[in-house]
Amino acid sequence: MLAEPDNRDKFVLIHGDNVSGVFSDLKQGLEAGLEKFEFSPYLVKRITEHEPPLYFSRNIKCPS
Amino acid sequence: MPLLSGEILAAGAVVDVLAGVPESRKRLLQKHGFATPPPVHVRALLDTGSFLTGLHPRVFTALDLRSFDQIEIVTPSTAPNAPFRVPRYWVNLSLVADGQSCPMPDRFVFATDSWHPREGVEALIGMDILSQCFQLLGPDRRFTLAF
Repeated sequence: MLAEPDNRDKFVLIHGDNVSGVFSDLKQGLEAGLEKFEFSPYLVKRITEHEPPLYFSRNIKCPS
Repeated sequence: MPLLSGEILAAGAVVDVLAGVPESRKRLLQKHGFATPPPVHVRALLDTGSFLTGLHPRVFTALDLRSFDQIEIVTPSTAPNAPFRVPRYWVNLSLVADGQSCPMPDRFVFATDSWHPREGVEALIGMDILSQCFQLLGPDRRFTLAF
């Protein structure tokens, strides 16, 4: 996805192992996922080389 | 401009939050004849020190929502090169204070169990929401949000 410059900073919709579409914003990708896959889980992710971590002021419990 | 005011408690500026399923999911549930889970109530601290809004995982369980991705988070005790990965969810949020409700557009928030049982809050409202409103914290121990 990154090889195509037009994809940068857009959002990819993935269901299973398949790419189902590229969208200009996150909500569009989520809406499309809901329409196509209904209650089946899907992934919507920004197309970027690196997403910087976000700061949260509380400690997060380590998964047990 | 909608205003939301409340008292600043010992824990800080705390609002009631009603978290519900996004409108699109609500329509899908209705289309299949399923009941929409009722909104879940949590108390949330307004926190300009957090980039993102985080809610207790019980909220997403009660709403039967599934994560759509994971994001990386750093906290006061994580090394910058060792962020946590946390699940992110698509939800509908309304802030409530002093009996006034402020519904907001659907939001992308994450699940975190960062709360002490007796502190009385199970969520932080971060700058993803607070940056879209004007905040006033007054000497009379009241806060006002203007959307």
